[in-house]
Amino acid sequence: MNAAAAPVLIPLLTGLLCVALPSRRLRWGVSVTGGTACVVASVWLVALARAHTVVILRFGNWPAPFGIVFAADLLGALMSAIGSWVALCTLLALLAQPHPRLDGFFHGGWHLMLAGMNGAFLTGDLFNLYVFFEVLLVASYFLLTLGSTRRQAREAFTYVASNLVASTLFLVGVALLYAAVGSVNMADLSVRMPDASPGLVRPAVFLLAVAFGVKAAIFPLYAWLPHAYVLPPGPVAAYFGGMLTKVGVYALYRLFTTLNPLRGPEPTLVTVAVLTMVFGVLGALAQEEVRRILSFHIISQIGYMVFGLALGTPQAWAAGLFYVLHHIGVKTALLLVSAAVEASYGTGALRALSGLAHAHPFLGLSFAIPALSLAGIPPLSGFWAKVFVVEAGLRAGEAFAVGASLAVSLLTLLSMSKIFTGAFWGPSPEREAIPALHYLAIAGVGVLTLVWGLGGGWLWDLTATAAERLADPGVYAQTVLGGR
Amino acid sequence: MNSLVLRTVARVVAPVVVLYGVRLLLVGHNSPGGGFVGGLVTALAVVLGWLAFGPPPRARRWERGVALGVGISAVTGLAAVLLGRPFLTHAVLYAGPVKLPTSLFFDVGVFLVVVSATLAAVRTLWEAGS
Amino acid sequence: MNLVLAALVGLLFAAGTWLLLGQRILRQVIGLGLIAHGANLTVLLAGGLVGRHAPLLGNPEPRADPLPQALILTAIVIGFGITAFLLALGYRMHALEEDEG
Repeated sequence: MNAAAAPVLIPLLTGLLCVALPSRRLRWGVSVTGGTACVVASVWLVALARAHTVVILRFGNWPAPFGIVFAADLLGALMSAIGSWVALCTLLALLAQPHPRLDGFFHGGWHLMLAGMNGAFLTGDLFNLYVFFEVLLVASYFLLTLGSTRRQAREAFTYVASNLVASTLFLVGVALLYAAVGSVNMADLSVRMPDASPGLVRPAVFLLAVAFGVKAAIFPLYAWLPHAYVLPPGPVAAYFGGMLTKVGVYALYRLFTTLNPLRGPEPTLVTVAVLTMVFGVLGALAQEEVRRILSFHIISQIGYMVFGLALGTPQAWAAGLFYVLHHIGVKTALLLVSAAVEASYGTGALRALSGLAHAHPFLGLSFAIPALSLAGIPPLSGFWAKVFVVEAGLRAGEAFAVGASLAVSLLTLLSMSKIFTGAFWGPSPEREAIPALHYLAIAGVGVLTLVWGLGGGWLWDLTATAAERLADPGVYAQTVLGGR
Repeated sequence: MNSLVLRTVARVVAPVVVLYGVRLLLVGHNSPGGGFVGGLVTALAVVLGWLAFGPPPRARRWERGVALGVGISAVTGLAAVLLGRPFLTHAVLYAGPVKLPTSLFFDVGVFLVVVSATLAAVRTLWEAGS
Repeated sequence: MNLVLAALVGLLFAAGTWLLLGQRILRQVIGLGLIAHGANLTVLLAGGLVGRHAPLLGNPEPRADPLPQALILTAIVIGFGITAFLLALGYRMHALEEDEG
């Protein structure tokens, strides 16, 4: 079914059209229309994946595992839907406060990154996952270096180099799996890996986990992340902060469910998850700039998602998946608020800001809601996400890790209140305007946490279904490899 | 780079290499070759010409070939979608006695992308260097 | 032969890592290139040097496995693009540093 490729093809063609179009106004229109179309296509794909388990597109009508397939299961389709939504909202924020270098190539890069992301979520082939990772990263390198100050170029170099090394390890991992199993199709791999020689499979799984770990920014592989998120224009950072690490998290989920399924808690991963939570939040406490604080919180929150994965039960996977979706919305909203502040007031340093809540009550509200949600205050989605993860952790008997996660959420609340007291309370500043379109963009992602918090039962049902299907990779494999 | 030898050689070699690149493109369906290598070879020939005579003053407008090329490739892929087949399904057409696989059109798109993108990269570095 | 190539992969990774840890941009780019070559060679080795029996009728002798070659070609193209990008980035850093004195 061709629907599986629509979330990749639409942004790809939109991006190209944007590069080719001469007029600014026209680019604007095409870019937003393409972004909206991609959201529609990916939401439709979620509905299809829910009904049919796996939506399969065999490119060129070649049967799997010989040809290239896209296999959109519920996990991939959900990720692609939220990714498209985030791309659209951050694009609106970018258009609200145009950057001087916002030309056709910039739109092109934006949509190319979306195409790479969706491709990574939807492909059913490990080597294509590598290719789409690279597409995504090349686009992100481009967006990152926009503006071209010296500091930006240097920080971008660090980011590119560390991601390039990670990609190389990924490639070596794929090679080892190919040597052991003789296939790169994920469904085929999941069937044949248990019988393959563990001497090749285990290092391969380890290499893949390290490579995905770098992209997901887990402990101790997160050093590149603050470099990437602090320098680009605000909406770009929001786009990155929402999605870039989650592609790595998605790949980890794919690795430890479909390819090499965990059966019960995996102590190493649990430890890594807890350390990621703790070090991320400690790093955040030491920062004095809104965007830096938020960037370190990404690392900390990745820990919860990996914790859900590491517990190795369908219930914990559902919790982790819920956490991923909740966090994407919340984090993008927070970074978009910080982008609005930086664009209008020229700084994100806590020392230089004060009284924003007084000058912009709605901005204060749209920071407070996601911030409280991030810390896990009811009735927002963050509360439910934490409840699900904690419950799964207690059932698996990981009391210590659960305790650590609760302590970390207290520290999260602490550093959120630090931003709030620093930037939003106090004497009111001279008021600068914030464009309505930027508010719309913030509301677009921020409203998710309210909706999912107050009536998120349907989302939980979706993630639970996705996790149950992940727990049974046989069905996935059979659907991909079986007849048409 | 103002060298009589280079100019004389380029005048003979570049057209031959372009022809070879196009040949690689055309035989790619059955033999080693295809749009990618064909495009690279062709781009190399053009770069040779630039080295000898300097890039033409309006080299930039040819870079829209990237969009054109992807457009052509995408259309050949999407044609299959319109006929209700999976994306990128190809067929072999016959124009009289000539076998004309639709994947050739796809390859032409690739060829255009590779030539335009390579030349764009070379031109950018060229301008940065001078 | 496998052993020699495996050692070569190790050598490429070691040399690449060493260069990457240096201070200068150009060395780091070359180091990344060497690491990428090491990975490509690993993919080639993964296919088996003597090849496998292709599932074709009347084809008793082993053939070189084409899939790793396709994978390597893709990886080379990607690596080439990113190396070019890194060089451009390094050039820009250099130019900006001169601008700023």
